[in-house]
Amino acid sequence: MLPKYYEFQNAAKILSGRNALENIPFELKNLGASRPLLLTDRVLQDMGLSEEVIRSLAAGGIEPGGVFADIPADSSLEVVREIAGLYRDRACDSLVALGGGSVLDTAKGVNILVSSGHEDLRELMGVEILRRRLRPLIAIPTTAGTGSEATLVAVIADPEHNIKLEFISYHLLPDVAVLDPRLTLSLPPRVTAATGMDALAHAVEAYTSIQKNPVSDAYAWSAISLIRDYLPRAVADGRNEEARLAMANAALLAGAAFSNAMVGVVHAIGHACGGVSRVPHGVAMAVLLPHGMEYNRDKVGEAYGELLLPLAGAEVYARTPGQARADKAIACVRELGLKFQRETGLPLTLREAGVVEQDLERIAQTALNDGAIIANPKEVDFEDIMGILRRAF
Amino acid sequence: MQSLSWGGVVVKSRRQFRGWHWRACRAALWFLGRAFAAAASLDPRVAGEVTGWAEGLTVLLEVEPYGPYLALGKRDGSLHLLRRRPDPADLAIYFKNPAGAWRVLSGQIGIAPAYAEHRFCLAGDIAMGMSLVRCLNLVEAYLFPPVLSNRILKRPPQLRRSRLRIYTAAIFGF
Repeated sequence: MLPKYYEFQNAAKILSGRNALENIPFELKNLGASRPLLLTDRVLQDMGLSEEVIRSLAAGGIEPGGVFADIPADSSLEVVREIAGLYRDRACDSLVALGGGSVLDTAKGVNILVSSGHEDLRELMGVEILRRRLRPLIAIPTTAGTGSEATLVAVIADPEHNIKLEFISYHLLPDVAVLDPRLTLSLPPRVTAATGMDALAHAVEAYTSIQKNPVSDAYAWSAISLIRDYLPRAVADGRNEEARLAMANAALLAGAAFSNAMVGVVHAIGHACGGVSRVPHGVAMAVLLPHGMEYNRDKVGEAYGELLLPLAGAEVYARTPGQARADKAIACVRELGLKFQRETGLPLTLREAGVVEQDLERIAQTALNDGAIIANPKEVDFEDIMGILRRAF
Repeated sequence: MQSLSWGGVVVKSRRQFRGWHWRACRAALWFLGRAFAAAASLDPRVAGEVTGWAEGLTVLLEVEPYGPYLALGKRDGSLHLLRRRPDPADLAIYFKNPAGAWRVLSGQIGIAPAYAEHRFCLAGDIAMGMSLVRCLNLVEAYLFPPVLSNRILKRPPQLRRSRLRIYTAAIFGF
């Protein structure tokens, strides 16, 4: 059924495949940029990946205005301010972000500051508040999960006030997303599994949210099909370039899907688990996705039944009776999690993930105030969240 | 009258933008504000949400591009209507246009579907925004008859007071 009204934007030009990095200089010139600031983290710098990007830029006649490699695991307001200062001091005209969700979110935060002229990022918190284009931003993801290279969201921590600042705007979408298989080859199996489950959660929740639309559905469907085929291969053999590239595409597709259709209760609780109990996001998604699906099942069971096709393939779909497809889809998600638990030790309960029982109420209260809740197809209150948490514990 | 240039075309005044949607929104916001303040004192769930707000917090609901607006503020622990438009407000919802605003204010769609349809922007802390959304859902449950509230709310809440009581408090102030 077509929604009465929807909006969709995926502004990022996608460069996917062999030697994608080497095309970055061409894209920068297309965007009118010639002096990017390269953002990354220490781990990637030590692995030599940032050097590879710098070599690719040099081969195309581009010299970075600077490199900032001290981005922490959680993007923070202080780091964003520091980088914005460096950007201005070095007279940069664009940003190239190499890393996972934290690096990409930091880059988006920096882009807000340097493009708006504001000094305090907190003044621009909110949804669709930014009213002008930002500086060119090229995103080079090194995980296959968050989809930040294709999303309009940035979350920056404000440790001083102990809150997370959330920014949602179409202007935050990177101009170019670079998917090069070289960048995820060294991801350990457990991280590959967890980030892959994150991408799956994005796609499933986008397909069933109240903001879903035909275009986001197409993206989500493609993402789930790729995850079905390639995530197990990428976990089993990290050096499989085809699997790595397919998962990078799946993560981008799922990111674009949820960027235009939002997520729901699984992500609301997952964010809270991360904030309260420091559970890694991908692990939280692996634990919570089947429980969230069970919670929503009476509302969007038909959609789950449709998803059995990309989740399990045509044969399983065809031989499963119609009324059983929703449950079978949820079972497929569970089986995938169990497979990765056997192969990589991926936690499948909140307790295994390090959550203590005393934290459950605080997690529930935090989840209630997460913006993702609004797009969940079913109403969720404190008791509902506690029920999900107890079942997932 | 203030002359404005919009897209190269000079328009005579802001009054040209005040069609029937604008006037209907103004009336609806007037009543919504009073109902919100009433619910904040009569429904413990709304009161509980407001208790969690910082003292002095200001909330603005405004219809772009030229109003109308509803401004609320927390003073001395309770919620009050504000005469003056806070600038800036701590939390602001800006409906993108009067037609979109009217769909929400007249009960054609709820706040969650309005968000899904990109009918408004939100400036401020999104976590605070979720508290406001919960309050608005409760107020809508009081203001609209079941035939509307059952359609626009994901799960209509149980009413702790009668609709008549909220309406009386909104109209007469007690």
